[in-house]
Amino acid sequence: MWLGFFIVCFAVIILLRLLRADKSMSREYDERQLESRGRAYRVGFLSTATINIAAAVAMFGDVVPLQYGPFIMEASAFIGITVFAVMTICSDSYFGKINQIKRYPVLLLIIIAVNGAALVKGTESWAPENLLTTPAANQLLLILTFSVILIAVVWKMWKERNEEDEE
Amino acid sequence: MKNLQMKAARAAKDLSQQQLADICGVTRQTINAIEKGDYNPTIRLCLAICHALDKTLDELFWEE
Repeated sequence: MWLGFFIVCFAVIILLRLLRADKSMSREYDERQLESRGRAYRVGFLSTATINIAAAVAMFGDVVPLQYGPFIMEASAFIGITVFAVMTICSDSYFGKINQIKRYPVLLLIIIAVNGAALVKGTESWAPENLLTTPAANQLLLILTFSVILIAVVWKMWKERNEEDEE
Repeated sequence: MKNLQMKAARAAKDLSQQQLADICGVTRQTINAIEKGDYNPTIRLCLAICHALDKTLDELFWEE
């Protein structure tokens, strides 16, 4: 219990520092970034909408049991967010003009670790009768989303370093 | 299509992509994308780049 408390406090401190640092620099995007973000919003929204429509059709046709509906809805929202984040990170339009990409891997790792720890701690209630519980499913979705975003951030940092060397 | 004229003009002024980006108020990645031909800047940005590199629009952005 105390470990969890300290981990949360640590995460909150890091978050507050990031937010304060972010506030001191204006979060502006240049024209290319704005165009890219607009495209990412559209693709993210379309991804969510498409999955929801496909799921609705599948459930209507009894291909997918109705009980999976809420999970599919949540998963589609997470997928939309992931698509937006990955597209904007890969096109250098997530972090604004003042690119503070280097701060984020640590924060993302903390988020993943905290949720992973919570998931592992609740192992007994993960999947009674071989069906994931809703809280477990939510945490898995969160961990998966942030893991994909972390991979995108790390890949981008590596690519950026190579680009600077080529300049 | 790559913008080699812009890259050459930037090199002639001994400016890095980051320095040129700072002068024009954009990111280094945007300057990189313009030089690689991956992004078509607006006329406003074109003019800002021309001013920074002391070149005309024709010299930097005209396609033969």
